[in-house]
Amino acid sequence: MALAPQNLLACMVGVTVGTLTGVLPGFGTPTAMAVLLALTFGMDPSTGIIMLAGIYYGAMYGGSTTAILVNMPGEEPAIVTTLDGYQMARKGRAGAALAVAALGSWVAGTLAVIGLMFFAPPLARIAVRFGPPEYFAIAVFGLVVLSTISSGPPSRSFLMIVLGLMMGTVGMDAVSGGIRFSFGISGLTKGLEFVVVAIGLLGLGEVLNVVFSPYEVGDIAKVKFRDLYPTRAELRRSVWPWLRGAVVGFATGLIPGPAGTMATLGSYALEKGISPRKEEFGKGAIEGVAGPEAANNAAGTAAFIPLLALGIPFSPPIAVLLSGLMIHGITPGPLLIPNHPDIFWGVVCSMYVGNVMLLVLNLPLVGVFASLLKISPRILMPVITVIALVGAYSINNSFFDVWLCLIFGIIGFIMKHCGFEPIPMLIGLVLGPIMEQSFRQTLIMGKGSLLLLFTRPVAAAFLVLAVAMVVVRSWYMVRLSARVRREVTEGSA
Amino acid sequence: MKEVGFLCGVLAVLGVYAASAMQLDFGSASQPGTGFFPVLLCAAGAILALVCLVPAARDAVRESRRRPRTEGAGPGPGRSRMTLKLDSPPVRVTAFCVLSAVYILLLDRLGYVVSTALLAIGLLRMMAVRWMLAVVVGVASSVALWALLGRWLNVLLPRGVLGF
Repeated sequence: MALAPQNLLACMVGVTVGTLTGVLPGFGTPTAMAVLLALTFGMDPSTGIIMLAGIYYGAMYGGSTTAILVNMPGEEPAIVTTLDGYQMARKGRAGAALAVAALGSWVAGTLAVIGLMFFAPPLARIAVRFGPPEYFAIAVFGLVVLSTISSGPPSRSFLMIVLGLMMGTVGMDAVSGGIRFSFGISGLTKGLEFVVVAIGLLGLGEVLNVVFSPYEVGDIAKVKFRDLYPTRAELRRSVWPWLRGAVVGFATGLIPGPAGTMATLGSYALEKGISPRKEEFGKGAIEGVAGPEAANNAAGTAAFIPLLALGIPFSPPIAVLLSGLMIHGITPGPLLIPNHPDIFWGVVCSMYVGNVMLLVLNLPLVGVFASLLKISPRILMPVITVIALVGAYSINNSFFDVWLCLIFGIIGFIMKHCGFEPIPMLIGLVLGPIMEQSFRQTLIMGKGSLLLLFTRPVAAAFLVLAVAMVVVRSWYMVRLSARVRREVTEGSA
Repeated sequence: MKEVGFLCGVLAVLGVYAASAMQLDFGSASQPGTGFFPVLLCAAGAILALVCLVPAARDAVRESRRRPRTEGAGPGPGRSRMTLKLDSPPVRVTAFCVLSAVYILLLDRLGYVVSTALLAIGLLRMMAVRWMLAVVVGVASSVALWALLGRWLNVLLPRGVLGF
């Protein structure tokens, strides 16, 4: 079914657009997926989802291209790739770094798809037995993970999450059906559309940031086709980091939370820790490219599992995918696989095909993608704005949504300038309705008591993990601030 | 200082939200109403906003003490009076937002193609792109998007008086 011509075309368009968004700064994956969601309305549901999924894993590949060639990560997880990838490019090994990254992504992506095939159906069967306490505990755990790995103090991330959860309460109450927090504005009675808010906060917010301070692209390392062959030694040194990266990435992707960045950081730390050539890391070690790139792709694929099996998204791109499924009348969750096997297996098969397409597309066309960076942000940003605004309109054919998009764009810009991350807010918005509903149902089930959260093993395990993460992070922050204070005191003395 | 301003804004939003949440049915622990979860969120938000505000305010005060007093003095080296150049970043961002707002207002009247081309040309000119290039890119991007979305994928786009 995934090999039907329209699905292959959708996959091709998806991975190409995804690679472009990974390459171009200012047009992140969730924005691209949100904007292109409108394109899928006229498509068969599985074709539309295949295209959206293609954008998602295409961007994973694309992000590494700019990280290696110009020291500019196209996507957040690719930050780690800049450490050694760019150093390799400076030594004239850009082609080898790109090839190792692409091959590693392909190996790990393919292994992760196999993992997805084996893990998602049993997890969905277990998840059928989950009740509100389990869903509430999983959501809490995911939000805690998100807040602890975000940059800056966790209190800031928590504040943004709470604001997002508050935004999720706007509109119709899922339990009673009453309208809340609409303030007499008819457009708010249906709630805040996640996709519109995402286009605004992430897409327009980033555009305004670039308008405020346009980026400058440094020299782009030139790559000839014959340079794309890594040496035999480089390949030998990459095989085990690819496999380890695939395992680390897959395991990280299964944890509710923003998987990509955690996976690349984890893989890099692992490779550096076990490598006999520790001194090469940061100066162009091939393992520093191979491991994180494999981990990133595996995590991206594994992150589909919580969505497809539990119906809970923990990153903005996966949340857009959730919106796409809902728009096509499909409710993600434990019943997705038995009720819509065509969607599940279509996405799985498209991932196999997509990984091959990306390998074929990325390596020979790397020069073309890199040359796109030469387009001035002065031209790129207005074009992205136009696409973003029409994307916001086309979700519900609503002018109110376009206003919302602009307003959230301004909010996103202000947030960035004040040192607050918009992603926790977005995840709060997505998880708000799930959390509220499961929280209220847990209270009703427990006759006013929350003891159920601690007496049911799965819920208790997730809550204990969440508390442990908060304790560990707080302990680390206290130690860090004590060390800084000590250094300041010693410095002034 | 920016952080303090932002957090004060957050507290104001929390205040408005709390006032609205208080009017909803709170219910009880065993039968939570529509206002139960929002009230809890307000309490959590207020605590977190204060936790963030206190160190931010302390830093802002410390920074203002560290900065030399320039009150009454003329603009010294590196410090200018409030003169905003037309191509300065704040002006660019404001113009960007104003143009986008005008676009939304025009979208219904002029239709998708014309208003989008005008917005794109306006934004490109504002970013100091040459007239010729701005017109070509603006018109091309507008028509290309209209053809892709409106014609090929049958997405409903605003038609306006000209019918496209």
